[in-house]
Amino acid sequence: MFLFGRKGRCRRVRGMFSEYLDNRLGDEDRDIVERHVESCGACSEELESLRMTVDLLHRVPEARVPRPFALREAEMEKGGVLEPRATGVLRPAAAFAAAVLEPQSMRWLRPATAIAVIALVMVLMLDFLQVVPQGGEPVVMEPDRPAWTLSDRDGGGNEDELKFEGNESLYLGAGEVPPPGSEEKSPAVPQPAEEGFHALSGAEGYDGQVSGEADTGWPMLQVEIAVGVVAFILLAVTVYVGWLRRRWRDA
Amino acid sequence: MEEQELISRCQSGDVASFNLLVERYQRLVYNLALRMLGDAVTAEDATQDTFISAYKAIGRFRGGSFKAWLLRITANSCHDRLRVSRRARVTSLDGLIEEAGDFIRDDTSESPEEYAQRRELSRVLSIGLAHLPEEQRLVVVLSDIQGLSYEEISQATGCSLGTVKSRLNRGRLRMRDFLRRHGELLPAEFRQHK
Repeated sequence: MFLFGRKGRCRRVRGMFSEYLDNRLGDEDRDIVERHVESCGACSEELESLRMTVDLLHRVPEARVPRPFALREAEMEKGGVLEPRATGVLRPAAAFAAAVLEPQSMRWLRPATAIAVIALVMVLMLDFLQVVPQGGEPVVMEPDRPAWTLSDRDGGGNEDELKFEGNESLYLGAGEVPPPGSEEKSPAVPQPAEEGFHALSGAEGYDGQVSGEADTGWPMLQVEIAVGVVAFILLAVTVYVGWLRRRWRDA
Repeated sequence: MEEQELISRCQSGDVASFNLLVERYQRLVYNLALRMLGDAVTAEDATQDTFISAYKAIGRFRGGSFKAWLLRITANSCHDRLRVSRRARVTSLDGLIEEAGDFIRDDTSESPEEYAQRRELSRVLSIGLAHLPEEQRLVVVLSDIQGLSYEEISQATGCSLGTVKSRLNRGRLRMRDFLRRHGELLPAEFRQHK
């Protein structure tokens, strides 16, 4: 004890105040504290303030329980509340119910749902704004010059005709309908309207080369469906879990 | 019925026996949760969770102090709630805890004024407790409000005796500093703190 300076002694004695107040000190340490406090005004004041704090804490009234917390026998014995005791095919369902009713379980569910919904919104926005090239559409090399245009034959607007104006390599029905300027001089309207429709839609003469070019874009529809399904499932599980927990809490 | 016998029955699935233990300890558990969380509704939920968890885990209870074991589950339940809700610290005294709860009178001779003063004291001390780090708060509540011995606190918290003493000392000093700074919040009768 006497190896310490005055400050060191005060610090050491103050470290024993709590045990002193709780009567947890041995005789020797108790004497040390009492003798020091008698000679040190600051430590005496410190001890007194600590004693008053502890006294106040001892006077905190005890709260009455708001309701009995007894467990419901029927539910606990049935095992339907938290213990998965079902057998056979129902066991996974019971295990799931038990897992979701744990207050701290499935904490990942809400963030995961939020992320899935945000991802869905972003994918839809990308699709809407056409930021990424999409699959299933022909690649247009000269966007300002379409391959086929619909023009009015007689200017009256009764019958539409297909007129080739674009790049030859983009001619979809190359195998079936010869492009203008080839050896067989085609009329301005090379095919009847029905055939022209087939040629334009790719139902006939849609060769592998063109198809390969068309699939280089993003399959946005598939992505949207996949993200949408994931978001829907997570959302449904979140709602179901919330409902289960509320029902269990109210029970 | 002896506590050990009740525990044995609980371990064989007797809910009625467990409910006798609940009846015996619910006030202790609820009061610890109330002091740790500072909110009556959350404390009620934590208390219910504690007993459900205890029932589920009682098969793994291997003797020792049942009270300390139960308080440890309570402390864990409170810890989880504090971590989730980030309410370990009260940042502003404007958001004072309006502590709900019906307090037990010391004796029937206590006047309504005295009772009101003790309620107010309890509210102020709850604010002070909310300013303590969680581990110090737990030890101070167990020792000074619930009256557990150092050994019981050591079992309930899973800490060594030395750690308990050190946390208790530091927690009391912080409480003392809080009361020095906010002595005006105390009811007049208790305002001797300088």
